[in-house]
Amino acid sequence: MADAVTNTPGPVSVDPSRRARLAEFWYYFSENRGAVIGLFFFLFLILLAVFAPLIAPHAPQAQYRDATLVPPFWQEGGSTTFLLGTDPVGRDILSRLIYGTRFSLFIGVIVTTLALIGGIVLGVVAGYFRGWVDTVIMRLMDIILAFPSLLLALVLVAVLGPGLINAMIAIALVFQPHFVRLTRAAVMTEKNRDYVVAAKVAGAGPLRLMFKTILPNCMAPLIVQATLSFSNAILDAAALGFLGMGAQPPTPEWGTMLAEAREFILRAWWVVTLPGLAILVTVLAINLMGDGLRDALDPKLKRS
Amino acid sequence: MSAQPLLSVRGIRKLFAIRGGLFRRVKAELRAVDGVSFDIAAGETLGLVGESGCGKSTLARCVARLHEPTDGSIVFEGEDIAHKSMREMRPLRRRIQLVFQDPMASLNPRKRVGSILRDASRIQGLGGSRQEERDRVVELLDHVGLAAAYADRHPHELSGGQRQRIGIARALALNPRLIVADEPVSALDVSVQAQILNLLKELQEKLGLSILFISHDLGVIRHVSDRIGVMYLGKLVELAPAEAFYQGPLHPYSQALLAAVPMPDPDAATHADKAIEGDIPSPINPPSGCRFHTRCPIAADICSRVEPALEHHGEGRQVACHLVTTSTTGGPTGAQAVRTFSRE
Repeated sequence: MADAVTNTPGPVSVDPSRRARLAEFWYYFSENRGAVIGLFFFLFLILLAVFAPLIAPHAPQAQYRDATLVPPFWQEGGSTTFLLGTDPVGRDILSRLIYGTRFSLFIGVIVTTLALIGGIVLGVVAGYFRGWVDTVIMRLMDIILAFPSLLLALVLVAVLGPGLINAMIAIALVFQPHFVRLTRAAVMTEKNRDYVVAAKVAGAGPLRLMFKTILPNCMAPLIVQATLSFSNAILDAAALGFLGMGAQPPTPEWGTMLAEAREFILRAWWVVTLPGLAILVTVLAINLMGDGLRDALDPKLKRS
Repeated sequence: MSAQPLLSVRGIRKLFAIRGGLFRRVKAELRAVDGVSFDIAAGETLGLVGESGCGKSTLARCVARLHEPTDGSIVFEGEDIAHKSMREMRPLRRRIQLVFQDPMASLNPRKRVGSILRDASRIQGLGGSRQEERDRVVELLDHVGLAAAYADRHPHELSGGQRQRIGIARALALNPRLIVADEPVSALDVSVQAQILNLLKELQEKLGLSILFISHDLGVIRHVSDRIGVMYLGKLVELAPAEAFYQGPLHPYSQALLAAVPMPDPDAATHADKAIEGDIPSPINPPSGCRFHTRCPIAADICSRVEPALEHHGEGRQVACHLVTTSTTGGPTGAQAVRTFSRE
């Protein structure tokens, strides 16, 4: 809002301080090599997801009945038509993995967004108003935290019915408390700072104070938590898929692929190993990136 | 003072409940401000001094209606605002503005100066067009002696003095009548302090502002105030015109405070022996009678039993002490106190 105003007169001026802040951010972020690798891998995944139809050699659902359980190309019996082999019904695993990227990123984005929005609203309200509102919200969150997260998600999906959307809602609910707690803590420290008092003296109402004055100053820990939740969401969704409660076959979701291939673990290693590896590498990359973000955004860790 | 003071505070009290135990029952009461009355005329500066913990800031926050006082009335421009709800206060907010102690903490670190200065009028719905807003920001910056280019800076890019200038500009944004300045220069370098104080005085003359100036520094207070109020443990113990106060404070506490100010004049008598000892007693359990009697060098019997009221002693001076007498010539003297000290 404000930026738009200050930038209107004259030609588009790049705010020097914003550029400086970005440079500083990159300086701290790039010190962590793992984080940079993670970031580039994540960008690579996004490209894969966006251009999946162009990159994937086959349609993810296409079944080549004459080529079931073909091993990867470097093994005996493998062919370059199916670079990473095929599954028991003759679908190309590479194509399914590429399309699976779409689902994983989609799950991560939706779950994180849901958990973030819900967590921010509840956390800001709890931290700003305190009193009984705070007690009610926080005890509810404690109850959610008291359950093993996957178990709770499983119960929720069992109630809502299996499916990718319901799995995402369940996982978002399970992740909620972390965001609520972080937001609440940050709001409580910011709430009594003088700039908030100044806005109050100018006559700002509680809504404006909560979301326009205080919240933007609480974002750093939330961004870090959101990145870490992103990978956890992918992991949990895969776990639910594996248990048959998440995405349903024939969706090329990585966890579901794992579940479908269970019986063939001993005969055809690639049907299980490759989706598992995809999950592992993705989660690892995002976690590394999250660590780097924390280093760059948390002022307490900064060496001046 | 004048017939209709801008601000008239009467018997204001602010108690904070201290809760504890299993059911969070009220265990004790902290009397931060306990029955304070004063007036501020239009265009006048009232300086409030006192040790830390004496309730100065709580008083400031009550006047700015960030706290609702437990008791008493705050009549501002003929309207009692002491117990108005936050919603009712909203349109009145623009008449009373605050300047804070720590200029870094009082400016939103994510916003640019221009945006900080604009926000207040936006909140009040006085926005106007972009060009008008832009002009207003430039005007405000000009008021506090900063170039228009500062509008695009972030607070962390400014020096302490510049930040406090922005803090003052923000307070001016709504054209207030009264500015409550809560230790506005305590966080600044001495060299910058003088600049900010002069700026405040200049703006006061230009815009006809009244200022409630709070500080623990008697030197700073002297520089800006028309009248001085001395607070001790939530009460006003002396209220006097600045000149008279600095020539001869009447209350023993005021005398001790003034004696504790380091004197740059080598010929001036040193008053190190007058310095009071000990800490300020707890406002949870204040001493009986006169609250100062535990540390008062001239405390008499009556002091621990009867609480002295703030009484007029002519020339617009008010003192709350049993031992200050109005002499027959009409002029007030802190007679006993002065005698005690001169004998030593």
